[in-house]
Amino acid sequence: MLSKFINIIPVSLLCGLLLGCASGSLMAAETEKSLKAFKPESLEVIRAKYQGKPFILALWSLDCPPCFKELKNLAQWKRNYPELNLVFVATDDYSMKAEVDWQIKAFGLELADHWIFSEHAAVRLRYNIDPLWHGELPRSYLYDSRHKSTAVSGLLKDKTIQQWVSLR
Amino acid sequence: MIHFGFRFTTLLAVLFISYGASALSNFCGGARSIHCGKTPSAVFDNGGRLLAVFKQDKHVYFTVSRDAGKTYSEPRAVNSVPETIYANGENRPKIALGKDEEILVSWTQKTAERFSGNIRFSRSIDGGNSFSVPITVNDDGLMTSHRFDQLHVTPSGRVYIAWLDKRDKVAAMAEGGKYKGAALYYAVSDDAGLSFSNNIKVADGSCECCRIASANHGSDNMAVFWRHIYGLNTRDHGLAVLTPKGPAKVDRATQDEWKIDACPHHGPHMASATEPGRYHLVWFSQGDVRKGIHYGMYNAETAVMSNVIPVDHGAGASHPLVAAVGNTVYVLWKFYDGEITRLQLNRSIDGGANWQSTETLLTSSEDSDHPQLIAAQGRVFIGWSAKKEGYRVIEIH
Repeated sequence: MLSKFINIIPVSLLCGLLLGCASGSLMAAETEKSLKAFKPESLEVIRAKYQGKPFILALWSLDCPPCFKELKNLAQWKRNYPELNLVFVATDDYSMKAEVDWQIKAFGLELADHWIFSEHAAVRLRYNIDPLWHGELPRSYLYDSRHKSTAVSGLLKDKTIQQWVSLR
Repeated sequence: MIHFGFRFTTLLAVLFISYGASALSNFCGGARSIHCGKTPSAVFDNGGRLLAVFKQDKHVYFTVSRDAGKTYSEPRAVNSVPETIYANGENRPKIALGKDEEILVSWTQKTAERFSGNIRFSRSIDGGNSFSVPITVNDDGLMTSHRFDQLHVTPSGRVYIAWLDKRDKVAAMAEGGKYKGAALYYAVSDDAGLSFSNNIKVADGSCECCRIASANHGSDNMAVFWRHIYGLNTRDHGLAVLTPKGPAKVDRATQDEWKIDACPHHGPHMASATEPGRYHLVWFSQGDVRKGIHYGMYNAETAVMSNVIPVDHGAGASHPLVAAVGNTVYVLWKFYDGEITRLQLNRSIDGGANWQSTETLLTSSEDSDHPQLIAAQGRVFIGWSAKKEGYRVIEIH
């Protein structure tokens, strides 16, 4: 009886641990997979994915202090409105992938779409996103359901997002 | 006559460098080289040797070219102990020449926290054979941002280092307050970098991620030109005259009204004009008043800007430089057209009043660094590092 009891506990503990580990690694793998390499054609891929739907394209980088305020704020919006389509593109060097991925998790933004600049020339990737963009960050594009977009340089104001949410 | 001479030199230099770049693929690929490393900065010594530093892996490396950039010596580590080093267009290792040809090097070390860093300095008093153990110039002992170093040596040999510093933000936040941006700080050395003064504050509220420009102010002091936050969020530029006793002048220099809560990643540049206390300035803005790259003549005594001229308002125009020799003034900048990046040049022979038509000096087909001026006595060279073409040096005056 005692030996049976002793056996049961470790097994159930092990199960719990295994499940925990399994779901943990699954989550990690999904986030890892969801941080995609942004290539010259990627904006078209993003538009196709959200065809007929509004979305916010948010450009940021690890070396931009205000971008961290932006990520924090957009994470809050995503928690309040889980249906909000957020697409983040980190303009960092592809070698910074692990740090970008870590940051996404730190902000609890795993449920948004995430990209990082691929090894293609960054100057070309920037130009493909918007030839009129001068590189200032954060930089966002508010797409309506017909994919007419409004560009915003600097932190997105709650008022702007609210207005966009109500109009779309 | 001068014009032909200039064109001929340019042509020669381009041919010269093109030859060097064609061999790039042979010596790149993990090799330790100025062509494979990041963000080179260079200076000519009095004997005409090109002295350069660049960042590769966890070191600042020093290398010498005796043929103006065609070939380089085996790079030597400035910091023998590896450390993480910032190396991007706006924040990069610097090199300058001391009064007695001491080779002075500064850079920003990345420390553990996000955006944190230390201002580092090392020097060689044996022509680059050995470098001193790097020192940290910021003296607050805080783990916060001390970054974007600018190293400057005056004609009298005084060494200034200015940088962007967040110690006051740390203090404000510890008291539950707020602090916008960073502060501009500096330190001075009167013994060619053997020791530095205490840190001195110039102004609170600088922009956080733009390079600082510097120029001589008289024979002993330094003028700096940097992006600053005015009012709530207007990111224009300040100009200050710094002395060992403190800032002598701190004024707002540009009034473009660029209201933005963002990092422009786009610092200005400056050069001394012939008249004392006057500066040729170039900068980038997307303000309500002015957009694009502009040139202006600034009087530091009166804090008045005059002769503001639009250089390039095209969307692909970025990162201007200005150089002056007598009344000849050069403005250089990058322009990307969706296919290639051009290094553009405008030239004035009357102190900036009138400008000749734009010419393209060099091009790059992939990513490229910000171009850098290379100081040389009475001559002007440009260094430009590009991923595909390597590091190219070109004489423009």
